[in-house]
Amino acid sequence: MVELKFADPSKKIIGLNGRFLVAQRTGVQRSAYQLFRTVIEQGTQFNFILFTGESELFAPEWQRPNVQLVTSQLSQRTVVRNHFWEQVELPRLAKRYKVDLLHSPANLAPLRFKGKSIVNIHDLCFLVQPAWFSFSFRLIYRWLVPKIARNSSLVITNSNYSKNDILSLLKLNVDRIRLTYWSVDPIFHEFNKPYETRDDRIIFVGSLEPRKNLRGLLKGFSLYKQRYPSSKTRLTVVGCENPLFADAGISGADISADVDFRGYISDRELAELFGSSKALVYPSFYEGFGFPPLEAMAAGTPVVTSRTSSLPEVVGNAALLVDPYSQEDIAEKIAKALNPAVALELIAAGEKQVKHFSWQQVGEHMIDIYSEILTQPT
Amino acid sequence: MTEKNKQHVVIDARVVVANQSHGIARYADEFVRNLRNIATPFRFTLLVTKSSPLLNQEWPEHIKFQVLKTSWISWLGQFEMLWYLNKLKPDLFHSPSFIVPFLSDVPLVTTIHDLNHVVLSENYSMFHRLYYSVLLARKIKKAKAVITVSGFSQQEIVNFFHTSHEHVKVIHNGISETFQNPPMQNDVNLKRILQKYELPDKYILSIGNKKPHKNIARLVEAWCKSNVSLPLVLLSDFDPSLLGLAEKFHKKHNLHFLRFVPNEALPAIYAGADLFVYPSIYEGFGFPPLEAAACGVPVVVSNCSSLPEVMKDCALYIDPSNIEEIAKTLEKAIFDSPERKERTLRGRELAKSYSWAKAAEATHGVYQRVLAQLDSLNTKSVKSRAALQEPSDG
Repeated sequence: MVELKFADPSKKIIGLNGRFLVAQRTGVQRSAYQLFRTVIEQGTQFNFILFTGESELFAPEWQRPNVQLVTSQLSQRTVVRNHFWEQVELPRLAKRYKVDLLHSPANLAPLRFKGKSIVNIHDLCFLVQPAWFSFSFRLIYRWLVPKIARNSSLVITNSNYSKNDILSLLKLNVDRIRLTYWSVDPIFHEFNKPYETRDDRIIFVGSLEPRKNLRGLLKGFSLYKQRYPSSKTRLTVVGCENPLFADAGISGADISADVDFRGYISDRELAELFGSSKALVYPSFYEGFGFPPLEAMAAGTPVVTSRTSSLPEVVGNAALLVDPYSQEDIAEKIAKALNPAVALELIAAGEKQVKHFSWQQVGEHMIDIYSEILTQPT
Repeated sequence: MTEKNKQHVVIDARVVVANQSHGIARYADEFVRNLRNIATPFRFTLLVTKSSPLLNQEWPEHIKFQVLKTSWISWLGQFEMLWYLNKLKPDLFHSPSFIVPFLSDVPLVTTIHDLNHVVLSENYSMFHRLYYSVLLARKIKKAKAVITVSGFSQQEIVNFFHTSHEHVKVIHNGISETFQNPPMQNDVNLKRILQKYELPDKYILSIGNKKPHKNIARLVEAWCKSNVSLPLVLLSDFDPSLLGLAEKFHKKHNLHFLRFVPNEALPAIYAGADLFVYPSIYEGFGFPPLEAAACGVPVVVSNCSSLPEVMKDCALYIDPSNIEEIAKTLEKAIFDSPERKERTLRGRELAKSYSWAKAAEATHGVYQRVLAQLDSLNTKSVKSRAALQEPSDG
């Protein structure tokens, strides 16, 4: 047992489940990471124990007087071991270190934990469209997540759309669900080039999986090219395959010569790419929150996205909305977004929309939720 | 006159329990709390349950409490009431609801709020009907007075129980003071509460429950079909079929179900709304639209039951069965701003005219009248008995 050296040991202890920190960072992990950084910064009235893998031991973001690390051997490759750690070792550790509240921010949480706990459920896509996921992911999530939700004191989700899904599919009482929107990393505000100097390029960001509807985008894009043969616009696809998800179902025939694939890139590179592109086209079928549209807005880039799931909730009136099942519609809205007059309007609206979301506010709300649960009788 | 010699009124206040705010509970709560400010020749005993929030407040000398074990709506309660009525020997008993003491012949005043149990018989069992038409009907006829909360309910009661308008007195409900001074827009407090309950920046609000007469499903359908893009926030039971409907119109993300809101947060939830809609088909009074108006929010209500009587010209009216009309009225209410502003101002004035102090005063007046009648009857009967007895004595 590691000895804890909190500056003020009398504060209540919040245990943070940091299993996700050793996994590849896509939407869920990025938001969970940002959330943890925000709550430890703002929650000075609490002490935090971060339970995670050894790789995080010297990470500068966790070096604070109210944060202590308890590490185990976890890594990105040992998936079965990570599940075992989360389900068996983590509840024991939490008990041994006497945490008052255990917060699991990435969909999964220990089922056997008896104390107060909260879990972030990002979306219920694996229940709505199981075919979009790999067999093992589906199996684990469909079995575990409903049980985790019932076992937790509170479930936190990130859009009203997901909240409604949780209400109807998990049959959770509305009093046990809380809603916090996410925000964007400030880095996305930093590489904002003037519209006229940007490259003639539209981009797409997301794991290569059927849910993101890259196939629909590629078809819509080639339809756009047919209609506007003089257009020199290129499409850059950012993101790589992820073993958690089913195959995106894209064949060589879908990919024209105007498409570049970039693979997985850092936030900084992504911010630069957003800041120098003419539009984000993101016709995803289903998102619990969907970061790319908001990040594009932060970078002053026009957005085309679906009118399904939580996407219209997050983008408000500041994006062009498409029917993701219609290639016609996608082609038409690409053309519209590339019209400079429309683009300038979208950029202005987007900059306004992105101001509705702030990590400061997310943090305040989370701290309120912590206090609320800690004062409840067990 | 000493306390003991004062005439004794017992009021059943068991319906007031913590964290519950249906119409009858609110009525009883507000009434007894305003009763303590009234100069009265009577003494009162309130029947309450052990955990009643009323017990934690300060009360004048002439208002006492009697703790009962049973809740307000129970059969065992009839026996317990009988026991305590025999013990307390009141001159008058006031029941704030359709639960009256059947086993005792104590002089009775009862408040009947509405007849939704018999009018909306499809929502209720045969038992409710029998209860009203057999048990309650007998008691209503014998009651010294019946109080109700609107002219609409008065007419309903007169028709159903075959009694007279003079027997059924109308006393309008009040509006709690918390709604008369709501937090204003841009107020920090308001913002904090709206954030706490995770409300969107702009929204349409409605309140109801799962019972069909609250008509929430038609409202949701009308909102889906209208051009209104504002989110709809429901303080109502969760109903998955509403989500299915909203999904079809790509509005599922904009349909919000609020979690439990304690009474003290309610004014802020109203004040934050851009529009309040109350499509209920049947109300005896209908607090929510008046509360919304008090908080300065434009109101759309049904054109039936007590609602037009209560809201007067301070609301837009809808035919609650006509989905298209509801949709059009929503659009009109949202987009038509000059008229909106004027109606909102009038609404605040209107709400001020409904006060619990006045309601309590009027109810106290009913006690006075009934007790005076009983007195004169008593003295008459004493005199006539004396007159009968005189000859034999002589």
